Amino acid sequence: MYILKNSWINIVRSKGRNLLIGIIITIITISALVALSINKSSKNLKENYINSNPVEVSFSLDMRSIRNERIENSDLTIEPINEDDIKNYGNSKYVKDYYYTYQKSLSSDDVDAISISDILKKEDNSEEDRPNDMMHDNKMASQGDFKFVAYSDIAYIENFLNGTNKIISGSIFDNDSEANVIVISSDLAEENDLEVNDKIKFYDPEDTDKVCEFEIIAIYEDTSTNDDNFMNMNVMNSQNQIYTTMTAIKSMIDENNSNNISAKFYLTSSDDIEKFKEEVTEKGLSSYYTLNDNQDAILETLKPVENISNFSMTFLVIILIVGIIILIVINMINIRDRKYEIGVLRAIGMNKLKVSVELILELFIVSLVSLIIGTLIGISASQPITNKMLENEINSYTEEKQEVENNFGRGNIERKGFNKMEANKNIDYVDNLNVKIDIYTILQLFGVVILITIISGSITIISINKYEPNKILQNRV
Amino acid sequence: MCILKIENLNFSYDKEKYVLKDINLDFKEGKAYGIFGKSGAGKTTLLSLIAGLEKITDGDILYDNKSIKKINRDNYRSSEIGVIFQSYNLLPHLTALENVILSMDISRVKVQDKKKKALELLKRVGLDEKKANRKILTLSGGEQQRVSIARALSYDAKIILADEPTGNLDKETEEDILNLLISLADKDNKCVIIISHSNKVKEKVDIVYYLVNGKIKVTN
Repeated sequence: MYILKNSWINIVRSKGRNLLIGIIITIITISALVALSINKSSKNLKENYINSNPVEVSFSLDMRSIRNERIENSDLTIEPINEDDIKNYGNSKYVKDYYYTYQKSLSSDDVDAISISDILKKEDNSEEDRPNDMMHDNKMASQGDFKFVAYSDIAYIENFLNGTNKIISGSIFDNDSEANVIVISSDLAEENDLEVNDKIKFYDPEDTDKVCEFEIIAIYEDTSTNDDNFMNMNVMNSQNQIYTTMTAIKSMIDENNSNNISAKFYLTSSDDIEKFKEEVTEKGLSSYYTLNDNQDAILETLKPVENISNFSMTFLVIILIVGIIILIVINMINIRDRKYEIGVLRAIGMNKLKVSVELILELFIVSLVSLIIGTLIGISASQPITNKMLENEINSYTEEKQEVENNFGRGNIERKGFNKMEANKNIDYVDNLNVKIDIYTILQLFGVVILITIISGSITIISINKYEPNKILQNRV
Repeated sequence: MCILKIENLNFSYDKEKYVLKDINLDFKEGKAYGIFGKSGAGKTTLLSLIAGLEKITDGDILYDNKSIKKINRDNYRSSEIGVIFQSYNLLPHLTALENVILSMDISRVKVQDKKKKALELLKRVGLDEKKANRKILTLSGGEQQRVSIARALSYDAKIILADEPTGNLDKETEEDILNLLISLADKDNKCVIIISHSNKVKEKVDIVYYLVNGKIKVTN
């Protein structure tokens, strides 16, 4: 008890020094609390975000491998993926759900496709100014104007899920419908005076004898603003997209042509991605197919959060190192200044341990008070600091993108090969990190501060063990 | 009764030149001893060894028939022997009263009311309550020496060891302090050992030892 009393007396009598130590520990506490809470919250956010965003896996042909292989083996053929393969892959314990789509471009003599050229023509009738629209008037033999899409499960039609497309007339077909029915865009309907129940004939541009009549079952409104009209190809225009049933599309395609089919598998957990990849390889998926997952895309949106988390932890380490060094120096000066006091205490019989405890207790009391003050400030400062850091981080990303566009003199600069869709995709960065300080974080904080107290206090123990009372007192005389 | 016995004590700081050579002495309770010698004779070294501030390397010192080499020297210093240093060695940031109470705390002596006892001790050495509550540096040299004596008495040590206790004091104060120390032997049955140059001390103590070149030369 007297040790505690003496420690308190010593704290009060050395206000300046203890105030300095207190300020250093308060700064360390605030930094540690902000860093730990950002780190914890970002980990939670990442976990929740990954869990709330389904783990998607799709496959694509690895064209580079194929080209390389063909240089050595010109007879190389690849077994295409068909519907049975997809069903086989989907029948996996790692797969929660899956769907597949067939796509086929078709042409029609009954209806005109919506064309960018037409729109420009309406605005300016000058023939000379018309863009060179090779796709409109001189349709390529193998490319139709309309993109027919059929989903194995209509619940996965992304455009309806995200609201880009919305049925405004009629209603969409069922999954098990075998009818030759279609859902067209309102723009296409207006352009060609079409209504629900009207029938249109479409043919395969690769085989003009393959003709099928489809009945309009519903009309959707297309609110997409993306200009995906690559090279003025009508088929790329979203308003020319037509949804149909599996049965209907199969009547127009070669089921063995893997170019027409694509699939998406939803896995139960991101931990299963590699296991699923191994399983489909075992089930016979050609090595020329690559399986792509959406984890990078998900993590991309969390990049600013991850960055501030990493930055805050690096900052914490620097603050800790600098703080410990400063505290050790202050302690060394303190011990040197109080050499006589230590000598007297030792001479009148206070053992080394008790002298050490008394001095460390002083540091601990100052640390504890600073810890409480720092925690209170840190709790109220964590959220604003985090918001500011996140805002700055997102701004720097946006500015970086803007700068690149400015350098080119225009936007929509593709930087990912030919994948225009991906390149132009705007990343919705996570811009809200709700910082929560729980008991675990507070305990971590206490651990950090106790650790630096012990490390800087250890210099006290080492110094005291070095001192012999007789020598201290003799030197003073 | 012999409370402290020095047996064949030799001491060297560098293992070459011996500061103390073959010292054999007995100290009894109720007696006042004076150890005299010129500067460098080994007086302070002998005090340090008796006080347990220095480790014994050759020979032995027995306290109450127990070798101080085998007992905890911190406990020995805090409870069994009261040392009065020439330079007082008080804690300047504490009051006279706090210095005495701290010594009691360290010794873990069982006292009902430490403050009351400390005030009594300080009164006994001539310091009133007002002075008892003053910080050490506001007291005169003589008053500080009195605090030092009160501190040595605070845990009822059987031996009081004083190193030049009157070295920094005027004649009048020297007389007072010496009388006080001698009274501890006479009235309180303490074994009082005073290391000094002063002839006054020589006159007052019961037994005188001379240290010459590390050896006990003359006794009376």
